[in-house]
Amino acid sequence: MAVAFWILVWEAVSLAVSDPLFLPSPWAVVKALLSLLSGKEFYSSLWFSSSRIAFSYFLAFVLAMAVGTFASLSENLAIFLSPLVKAIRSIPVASIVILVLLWVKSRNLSMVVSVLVVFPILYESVVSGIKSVDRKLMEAAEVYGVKGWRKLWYYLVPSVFPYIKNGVKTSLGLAWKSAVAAEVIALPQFSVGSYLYEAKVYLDSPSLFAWTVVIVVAAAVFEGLMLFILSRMEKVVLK
Amino acid sequence: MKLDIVKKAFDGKTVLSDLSLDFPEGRTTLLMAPSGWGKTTLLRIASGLDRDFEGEVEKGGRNVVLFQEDRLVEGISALSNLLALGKGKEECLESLFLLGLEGQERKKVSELSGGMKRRVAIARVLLMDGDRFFLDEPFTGLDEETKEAVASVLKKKLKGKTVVVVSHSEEDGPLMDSDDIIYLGEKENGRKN
Repeated sequence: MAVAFWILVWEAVSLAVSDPLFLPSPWAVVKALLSLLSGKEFYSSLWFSSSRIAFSYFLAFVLAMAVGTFASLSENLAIFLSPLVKAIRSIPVASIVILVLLWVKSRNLSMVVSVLVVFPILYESVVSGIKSVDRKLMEAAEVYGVKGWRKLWYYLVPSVFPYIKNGVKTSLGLAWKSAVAAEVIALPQFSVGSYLYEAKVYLDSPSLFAWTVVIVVAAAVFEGLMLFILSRMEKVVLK
Repeated sequence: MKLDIVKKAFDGKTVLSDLSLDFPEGRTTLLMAPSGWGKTTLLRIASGLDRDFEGEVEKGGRNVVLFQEDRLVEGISALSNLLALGKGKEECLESLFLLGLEGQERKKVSELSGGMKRRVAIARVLLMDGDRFFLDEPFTGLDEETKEAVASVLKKKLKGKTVVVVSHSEEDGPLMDSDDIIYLGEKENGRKN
């Protein structure tokens, strides 16, 4: 109902503006979207971008879990990494993109950028999750002889899991946004970002809107998939 | 089991001093004191959890502690909390069932009532192969009926072991059939038999 209302508002404003360059009508966007869907390049570019984002997300996840765990065990390592993680977190995505473009090929840029954006969020989730583990609980583990993998599985993982889940929720959308932003700047061939840029250059507003819809939907599907995997994991971990 | 505390202090403030106690092996001793007296501190020293004090504790055998707080992992089930000990599933279930927790074993601890959590914590202690058991306020949060049932399980399972029950309530003495009662405070110490 709310969606229908806003589409009506969009239609009304586009009629009032009556210039498809500034604001195309919803119908024009649907037409552009349908024409996109009928083209082969659409699927190859969607695959190009989403496979890279998925891979880099996976990489950032594994890296953050490993480094975060080690940093929680060693205070020196945490102190050593702290300025680096804080710096990566506070540098604007655009600066990262431009800087990294000097180091890697344009087709791999979005991956590096995604990793750099996602890693600090997940890293901090793991570290704060492990830090939050109740010391009294750890003392109990010691008294009751809970050691090794049983301590990890029954005591640490359940305490840290909610933090990781929150970190994943926060970083998922950012992975897509930053990767597409990187592609718009680096313009690798057959990527979602390069088509978005093309639409802008040719002042093709309906296509620009259509690609934006595609990105939003793709990010939502990616997020849904990850949250589904997480909820399955939660059932195994927290039982 | 002899315990001599010359001095125990936190941040320069003396909490316990000049205290000599004897917990007879194989018997149940109820240790009573008013709230804030330092019962939990005493129990931590006696069980070897706190070694930062002046004095001596006679060692021997494996100590098991039932903490005043339940100290369970809230996000996982009652059964998983027990499985963490490395015991078999049947054994864990038996311990939970003994304490009247049938049907609750798969529920997350966070979904259990305070009394049920207490019983899960006790079920965990009963799975431990220990020689000396230190129970800090074991009946907290339990209603009268459950208290009696839990006490009878504790008495049966810990028979012949050295048991020290710390409590602020005099009712816990007869409930646990304690052989000795040590009052830390005003009252005289008493010994049954």
